[in-house]
Amino acid sequence: MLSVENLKIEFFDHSLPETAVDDVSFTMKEGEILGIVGESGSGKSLTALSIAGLLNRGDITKSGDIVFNGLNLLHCKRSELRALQGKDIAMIFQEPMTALNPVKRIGWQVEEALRVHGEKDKIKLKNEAMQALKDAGLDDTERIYASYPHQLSGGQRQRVMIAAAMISKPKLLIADEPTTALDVTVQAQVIELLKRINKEKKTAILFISHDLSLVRQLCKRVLVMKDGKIVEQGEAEAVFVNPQEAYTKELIAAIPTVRKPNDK
Amino acid sequence: MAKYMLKKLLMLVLTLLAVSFVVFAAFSILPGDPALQKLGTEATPEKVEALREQMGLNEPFLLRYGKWLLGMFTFDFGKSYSYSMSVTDLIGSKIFINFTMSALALVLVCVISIPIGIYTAKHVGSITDKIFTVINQLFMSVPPFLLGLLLTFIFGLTFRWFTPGGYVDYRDNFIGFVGYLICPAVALALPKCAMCIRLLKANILEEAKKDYARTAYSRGNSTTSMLYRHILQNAIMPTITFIGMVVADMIASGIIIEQVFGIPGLGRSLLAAISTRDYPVVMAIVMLIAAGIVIISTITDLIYAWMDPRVRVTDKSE
Repeated sequence: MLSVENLKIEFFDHSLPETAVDDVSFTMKEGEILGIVGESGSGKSLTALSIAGLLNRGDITKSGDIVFNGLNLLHCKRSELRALQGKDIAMIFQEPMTALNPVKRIGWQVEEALRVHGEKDKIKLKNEAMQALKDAGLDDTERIYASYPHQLSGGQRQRVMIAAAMISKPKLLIADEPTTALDVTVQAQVIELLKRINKEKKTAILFISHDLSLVRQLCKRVLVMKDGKIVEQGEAEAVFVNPQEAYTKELIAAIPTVRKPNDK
Repeated sequence: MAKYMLKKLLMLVLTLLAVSFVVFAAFSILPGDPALQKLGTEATPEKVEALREQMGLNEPFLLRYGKWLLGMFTFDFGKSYSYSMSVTDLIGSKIFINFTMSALALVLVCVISIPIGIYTAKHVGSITDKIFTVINQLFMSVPPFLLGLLLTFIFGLTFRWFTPGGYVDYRDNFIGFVGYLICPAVALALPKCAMCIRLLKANILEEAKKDYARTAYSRGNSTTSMLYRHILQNAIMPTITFIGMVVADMIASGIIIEQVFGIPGLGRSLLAAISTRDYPVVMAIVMLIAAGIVIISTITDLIYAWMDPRVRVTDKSE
């Protein structure tokens, strides 16, 4: 479904180009959950953003290929990309506090992906939005539908983001550190929700995180990135139990010990 | 929202009361005896005393304030010391002139700066954007009165589109009156337009960097629909505040512009009244300017609350 080949992302904010993502290649099958782990600055978020078509800054160049269901996202027209965004590829972000527009009602924002892609029937939009909010594990959907973002908690907002992403039943959901800004209990709930979405809707999930234990809970397969390169990849269990690279070993050793009993 | 509005209106009334007290107190403390001033060389202690009695200057301070305050509710600002006319008759028509001029300038600011601000933000870095940046710099650094002189020279003397100094009274020819005010309104508006364009453009570009804009893109929005559906409502708020302040400033700038274009407006009356110590006229004008500013800032607040749901809530929790 998705294949990334020789993706290279370079910054040009200084006189010399700085390579942020270097020769990254991987593939994803339909319905798969793939995790990308790595420290900040490892290029994992840039990889995710460029797959979502959101990396369009003047000081950045991208080369290589990102092929999604036969369409090369790096070389296609903007309009072709837009036709996919929010419909087949949806994204949720790290900061649920700022990722929602503060002056628009939740309902309007959840419905947006459908509306942008041509749905005009208001009653249908509202029904779909209510269903999406319910599927994202929110109660009291009628109230939330009419609320503004500042009236909700961080966890609720991230669920709203997930509802807004899932409303058009995308084939690929890109989750860029979706739990980093949340506390641990809410984190666990969001991970469960993502698992359920994957199981019930068969949506493939590209899960970006620096938190190895979360990746291990959620993902079948994992890529480990460092300094813009993939240093190790494979089945999540195999990578965790028997890491081959020194960097992966370091990362695993860095997991706080309090968590270890839970992970086993 | 209704509660918020009520609260704001209450604040408005209280502010105006406070302003009225300060204005009245200030003019009571000022040295100089209006009765003596009015009598001039004919003054004898008896005559002065009689006139003071007649003008009500011997009554206690609070009583005089109360009378003045109550009078204002019926648009009665007392009698001018210099002319045997009520203040209302003296400045009523002038307020209308200044009001029309400021309103014209305000309309010009909105009509010119909002579309250009949006356009230059959308095409940032283009030739048009660069040209507008230069024009903006230019207009921002030119004071309105100089602009007024330039406009008079270009459109009045060179093109002869209007007669400089040929003010038309609104009671004679309303169209001609508005036509004559266009040039001064442009002189007032252009420097504000320049600032407004710059502010709006900067805010749009700022908002476009925010996370919610990225979210909007991730749902397949084009740049245009993202700009109009997401960004504008957020980005225009500081501009609204700014326009509110602009209106307040226009009242002051208007006084100078009037002189340049020879318009018999509020400014001329104010200067004349100050130099002859015609306190009732000065107080009335100061009160009206203050009321105008306070009312405009309340309107700005209400627009804000209407556009941004967070403002309403913060206020409720107080």
